[in-house]
Amino acid sequence: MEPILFICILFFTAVATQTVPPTTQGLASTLPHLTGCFSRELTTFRCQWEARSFQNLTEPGDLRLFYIRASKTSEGDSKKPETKWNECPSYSYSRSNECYFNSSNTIIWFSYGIQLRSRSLDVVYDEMFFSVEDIVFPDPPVGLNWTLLSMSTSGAICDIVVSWDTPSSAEESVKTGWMSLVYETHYREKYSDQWISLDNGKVMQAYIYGLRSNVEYEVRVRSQMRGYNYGDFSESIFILISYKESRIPITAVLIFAVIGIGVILMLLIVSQQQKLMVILLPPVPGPKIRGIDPVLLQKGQLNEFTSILSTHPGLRPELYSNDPWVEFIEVDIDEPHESQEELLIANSPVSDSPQMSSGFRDDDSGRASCCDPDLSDHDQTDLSHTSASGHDGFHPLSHAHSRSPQPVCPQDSGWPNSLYSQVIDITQRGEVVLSPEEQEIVNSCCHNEAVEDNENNKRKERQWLALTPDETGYTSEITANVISAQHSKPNSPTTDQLPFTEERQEPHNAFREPQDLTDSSPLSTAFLILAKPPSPEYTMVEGVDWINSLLLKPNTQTSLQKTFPAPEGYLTAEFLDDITG
Amino acid sequence: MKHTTVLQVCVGFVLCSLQAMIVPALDCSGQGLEGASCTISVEKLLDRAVQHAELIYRISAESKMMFEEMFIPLSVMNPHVYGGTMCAPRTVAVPASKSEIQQISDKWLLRSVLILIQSWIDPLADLQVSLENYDNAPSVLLNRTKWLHTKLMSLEQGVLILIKQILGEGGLLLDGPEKTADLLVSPDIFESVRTDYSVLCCFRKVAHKIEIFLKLLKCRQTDKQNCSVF
Repeated sequence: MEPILFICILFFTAVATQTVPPTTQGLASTLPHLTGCFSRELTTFRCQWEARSFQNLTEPGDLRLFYIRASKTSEGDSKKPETKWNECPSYSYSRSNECYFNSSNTIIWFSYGIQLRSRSLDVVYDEMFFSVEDIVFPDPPVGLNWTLLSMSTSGAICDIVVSWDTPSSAEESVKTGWMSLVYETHYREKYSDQWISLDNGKVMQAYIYGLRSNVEYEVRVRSQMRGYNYGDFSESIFILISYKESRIPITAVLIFAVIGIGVILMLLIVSQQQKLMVILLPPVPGPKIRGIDPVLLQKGQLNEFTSILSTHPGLRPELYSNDPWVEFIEVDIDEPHESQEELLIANSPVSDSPQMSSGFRDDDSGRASCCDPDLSDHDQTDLSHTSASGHDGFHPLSHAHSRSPQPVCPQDSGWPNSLYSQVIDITQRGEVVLSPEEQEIVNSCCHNEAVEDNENNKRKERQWLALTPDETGYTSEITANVISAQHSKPNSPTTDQLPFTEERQEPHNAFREPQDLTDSSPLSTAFLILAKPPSPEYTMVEGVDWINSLLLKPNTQTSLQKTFPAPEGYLTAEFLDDITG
Repeated sequence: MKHTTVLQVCVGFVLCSLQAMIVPALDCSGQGLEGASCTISVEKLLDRAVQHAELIYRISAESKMMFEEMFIPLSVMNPHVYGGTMCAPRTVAVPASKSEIQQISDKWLLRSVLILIQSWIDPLADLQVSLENYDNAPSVLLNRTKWLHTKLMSLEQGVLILIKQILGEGGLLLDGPEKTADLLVSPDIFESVRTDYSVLCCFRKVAHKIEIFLKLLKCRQTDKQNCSVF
């Protein structure tokens, strides 16, 4: 039975589907027919029909709708269809030709059969079968609106968000979960034919990207119960995003910004030019003077420094003009008191410069200025700087008399030359030639007391001739020579000179000479130290030339260009170094 | 060496902590009825069940459409007739209208869902077998039916757990699922096509039904008042 019943149902269905269309098509213009059944929310549904101009069916109630549904049976036989057709539970009042099935009459997962019959129930005009979920056509969403999501920097492209709400009829079903709606968005440019669709799912928002500004768009949304039919589209909304192109200000702003930055940079560079120059172009280091170690300057070791500078002629005047270690002897002519300030030239280099007398003043070269102050200027220019010699403890012969002696003989007011003897010449051998006139003057002057005076003078001369003894004992040699010459001097002046020179020349015999002297007289031994003062006219020793000879100023008759013997044994190492430079 | 050991210890600790978090979730779904330590909340379970049902419904709808396009000519297709009579289970009355469903209790809702699920596991397996016999059945369709079968079974597990949590132990006393003996298995290919099509159609409806039931249940669990008013 069951298979037969099943086959009967199939046949009936096939016939129904085949036959119904011809009937409707043949009498489509006149026969009433069902226009459709639809459900909005899967809870209720409606069926509508249409009555053509048929003279018998214009009255309401002429057409009746019957439905049948294949309901479940509790007896266990669900294959048997229910044959009883029920009439429409409620004909809607608001609208004619419509049957409304409420929620209690709506069975969701069962199929319905609808028949449109005439009043007399004998003519079946139309029928249809369906399941409720298949006729669900949700209402379109409501409340469409859009907001601007973002805009590109140029303003030409923008993104929008379209949002909507669930349709009012389906709102509760969706909320309770009875029906799940999905949405689909369509949009297009206003005068375009092609719609672009977006599937949103259950979200009630649609993101549309890439819309152009100043172009009008049309957007519409429709809802669908998932897997089933789509509902109608909503009302379209029109979107127009207007954007005024402001490219020019942006570019102008950029240009101005670049120019401003450039100006600021230029100002910085100009203001910090020096620093930048130092940074970018470091100064070239100055040349280093070879040979001079600035450390030596700091340490105060001036020996090498001065020796180095001596090679540069241009530097010497400055050196000697600002020498702090040069002490100038100030000898007062007027004042008889002795204030001895010896000229100290510690490290003066050996040189041939004749210009060393710049700062040197010796108003009184040791002679007694009591008698004749006129002679003071005579000696001022004569005294040359003894820097040429550069010897420690060496003084020019003119300096031998550093002390102004007391005038003993007032008779000879012009020159207190009774105490001094003038060096006329120095022989090749190095002998000092003294002028004999002085001796006569001395002898003539104060004859009575000549002897005494002479003695005293001699004593004093010897004293005056005593050079400041240095540790080397050099002066003693000269004094010894002088003394010996004086002691044993002959009458002739020349011969007087000889012993001086002779003895002077031979320094190595100096020690022997005094011994001879001592043999001669006891006084001579005592006078070894003492020296006879030289003649009144003086010669300035200018310097020592390279062969270690004294350079005297050409005041004397003869130009003295004598070699200065290097006394052996009397020169210290420093002395030699200073000479040789 | 010290750094590597410290790093290993840290990684091990992190992994252990992660495992400790993940394992209970896995145990809950795998244990079934014996998960005493399972502490997933009812809302989460319902959410998962609803997601399962939604997905099953979507895949079943797509499978039906695929089958329709390939095997069913337009002239023969009339699924409404089949849906009404063949898709409903025979023995147990399942509420069909919304008004009925609203009047039903949670217990009956869950029970109905369980019945529906259990009654359709076997037909899907049979459908799978039948589809494999086709000459030109696409692999996508086969994969989908296979997937539907597995997902339905996992949904059954979830619903059982839900019943246990919501209704307690007494909710499990239900009638066993009926075997699908009333589905005709015709040797005719044409009939088998029709049968398969009817199965797919019905299953789509059933999946829809299950989804709606579970959603209703979820709504009731979360907000009782709004869901019951109708």
